Amino acid sequence: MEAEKLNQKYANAARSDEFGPWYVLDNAAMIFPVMSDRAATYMFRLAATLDEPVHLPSLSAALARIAPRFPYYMVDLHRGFFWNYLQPLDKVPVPVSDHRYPVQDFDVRKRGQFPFRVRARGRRIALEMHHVLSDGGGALIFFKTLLAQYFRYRGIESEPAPDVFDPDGTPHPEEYEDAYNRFFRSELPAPEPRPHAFRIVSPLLPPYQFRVITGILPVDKVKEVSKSFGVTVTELFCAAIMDALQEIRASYPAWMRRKSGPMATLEVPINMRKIYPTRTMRNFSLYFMPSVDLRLGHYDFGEIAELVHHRIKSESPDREIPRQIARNVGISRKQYVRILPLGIKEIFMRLFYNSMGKNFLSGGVSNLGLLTLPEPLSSHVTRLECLMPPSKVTCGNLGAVTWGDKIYANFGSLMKSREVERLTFKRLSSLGIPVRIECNMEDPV
Amino acid sequence: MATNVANLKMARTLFHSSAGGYYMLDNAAIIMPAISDLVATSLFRIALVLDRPVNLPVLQRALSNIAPRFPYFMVELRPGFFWYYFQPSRRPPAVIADLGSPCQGLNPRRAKGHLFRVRARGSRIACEFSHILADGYGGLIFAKTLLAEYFRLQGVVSEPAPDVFLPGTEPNPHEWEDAYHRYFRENWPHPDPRPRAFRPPSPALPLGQYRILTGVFDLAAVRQAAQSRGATVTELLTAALIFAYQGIWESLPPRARRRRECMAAVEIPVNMRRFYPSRTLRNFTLFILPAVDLRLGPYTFEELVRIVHHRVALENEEREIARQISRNAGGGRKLMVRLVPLFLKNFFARLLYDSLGEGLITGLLTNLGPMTLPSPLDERVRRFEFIPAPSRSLKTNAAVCSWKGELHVTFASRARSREVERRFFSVLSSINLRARIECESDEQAAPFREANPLSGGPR
Repeated sequence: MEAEKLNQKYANAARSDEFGPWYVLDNAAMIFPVMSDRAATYMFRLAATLDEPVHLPSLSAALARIAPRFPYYMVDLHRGFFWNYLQPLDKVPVPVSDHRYPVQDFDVRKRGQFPFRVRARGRRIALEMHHVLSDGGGALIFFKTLLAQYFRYRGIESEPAPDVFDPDGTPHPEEYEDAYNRFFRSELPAPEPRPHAFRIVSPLLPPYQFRVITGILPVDKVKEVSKSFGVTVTELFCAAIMDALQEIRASYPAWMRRKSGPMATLEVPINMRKIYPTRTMRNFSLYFMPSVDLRLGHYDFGEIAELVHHRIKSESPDREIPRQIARNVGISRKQYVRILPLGIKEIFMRLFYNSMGKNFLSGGVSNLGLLTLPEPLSSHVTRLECLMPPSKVTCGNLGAVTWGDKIYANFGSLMKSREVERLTFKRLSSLGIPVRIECNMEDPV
Repeated sequence: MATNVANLKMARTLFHSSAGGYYMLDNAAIIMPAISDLVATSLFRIALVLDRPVNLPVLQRALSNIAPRFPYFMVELRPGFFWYYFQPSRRPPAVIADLGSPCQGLNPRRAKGHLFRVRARGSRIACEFSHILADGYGGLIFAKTLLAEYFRLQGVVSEPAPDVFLPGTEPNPHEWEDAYHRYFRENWPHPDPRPRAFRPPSPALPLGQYRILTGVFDLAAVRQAAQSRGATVTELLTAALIFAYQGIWESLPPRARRRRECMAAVEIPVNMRRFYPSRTLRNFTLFILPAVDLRLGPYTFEELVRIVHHRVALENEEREIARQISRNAGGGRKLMVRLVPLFLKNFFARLLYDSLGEGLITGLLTNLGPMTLPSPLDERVRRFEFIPAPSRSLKTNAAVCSWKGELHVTFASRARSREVERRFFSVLSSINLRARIECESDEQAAPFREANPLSGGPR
């Protein structure tokens, strides 16, 4: 009981003092302001392509209309003595024009700006959100609510849906709780340490250039192929990327192989809202980390797929995965951690994140799966996409969305090398999946 | 599959000196003399129960007849300056009575004589082999050859079979090769370090006692139960064993639980001949070690079956298991290691065996699978029995084999407590796999009673 009360206390993110209300960052978000810069922004993106050009006044109006429903997003980041915090920002968000290079050139630490932006150009509306605010699960609801309101202004009324909020509704206090703290169990052990990951070696693109390669795949064919390997679609994508990493590693000379980490490890986020009952609109995802040891000779694609499958299935999301909460929350609750000034915390956070987070990842696969919009909106949206946050060290970050009968698989990369993308799609097409490729830069793969 | 010249040279075990021929121990066996004593005798047992009483003089003749076919088993262990070695024995092997607990009363390090015994009593013929000499595969071929010869002398000629050797034929030199060294891979990574494992607490039985408790299942029912869960029989039984450990762990007071290790890890030996072609009758077994962290529990049985299935699939691969060869055989090849005198080697062997071997294991479950015998011998054998070797720290171990539609799970235990066995059989009976329990024990204790399945689970 004692622990439960403490969890409730920590989970309550909304505070208030003589200067007004403010929000504590959730447990996962604490690290992102420290780690992000203008290129590796830790912003992710959801984008919808409509069947007609975007009507900008309607979009502005829609955004302004739904803003009061999401007070916990209408904030900016402030630096306190002990922690970063979010303070309500007395401004109305406005859409900005979209750019060829998404999720770039954004500094979350700058005051007076929202940690998200709504962008539009041509027929596309995009939401770019910084991870300090939320993860894909929260952003998706915000985005859908925005789309529904936009269409309402365009004269298309949609049916109510649980994941589309009513702009006149009042926010539930659970929506801005820190669910990590709420479901913290102190008795769980920390996760096992992991070996270092293999990374490809490549120079970076010029600053603020971000290459997005989109593969458009027919969903029934992808399902059929993954079924033939006895794996899920996410596992199939993981295996294809690992296979690409394996080939790249084999092409390196021996001394580079010895120096590089041995594992191809991918981060596969799981939406923890499916496991724990919470309505939180803040971050609440954790990770599967399937890995393959690349030192152990060449694997066939089928072998990799099988390994990924067994690795993911042997970690049950309600037992192994909460260990990550136990570690992350456990550290942040320690008295000696809390009394450190923010500057010193930041030094340790960088060390901690490099040694426990980033160094054992080669990439990631975030598959949002089949997305739906309430009728009749879905017939007006021709395409829905997502994009993982840019990273300067990992390559092969895949964000996939199933919309209609197509899977839109987006690789975002800050690196010059396109090998991972090329080999991944080559592998998928060699399995008999027709892939159409698009790229936001010249000379696509 | 790299079989280069150095590997072939290292795989050789028969050497000749001025005093005659001698054999080297294989890579798995070199550590065993150091860690075996009167408690951990390293003896495992393969017994055959016939449909009629054993004719002792005939069995003795059969043993004498087949002895020349297995020259590499007719040896005695001798300490050298750097290593132990096998010296061919001049004593003829003799059949002895099967009295007292099995697999007991032999200290291989001090023994003057053979490292195997053939025992008989009533209608049972039992072969007890030291693991220094061979693994289950080698022992089984010896036992089958002995059985075939025993029946041949009584006028029952069996059909030829690849795993029944003919007395009088020449032994193949590959039969005593050290296959670990033959399939050694240079520059292969070593296994990942693993945490130490939980041990069910129990006082030991007095020296010389080894309790054998066998559960006899209907094979088809067990197969069906495993298949319906998408697992193999071994995985199902492993999950039941882990479930038993979990029950014991959960029943400990929280303070004791915090102080104890928390991994329930079951060692499943893997016959490496499955991956690498070899005729060797010496050891050629490595193991996989599915493990479950008990702090994350309590798990349901179904969950454990699923987890064990996936963990076994991850480990049960040639390239993963080869990492053990790389570590074990690679260590033995280092000049630094080879130059150390034997008494120091023994000292380090004990340390290593605990930290890399037994310390990581809660219990062992070995599945020898379905037994086969050429006709007409199969009609004469009522039953196969396997008993794993006793060990100092792993008090309760299990061996599984199936014969004629029955699955025998034999628990051999040095522990006074029967909790592991009780919980194992009760969780299986809760999924409608009921066993007929048979117990042979010197202990004057209450007879084993199957518990209420509901009390077997975690609280």
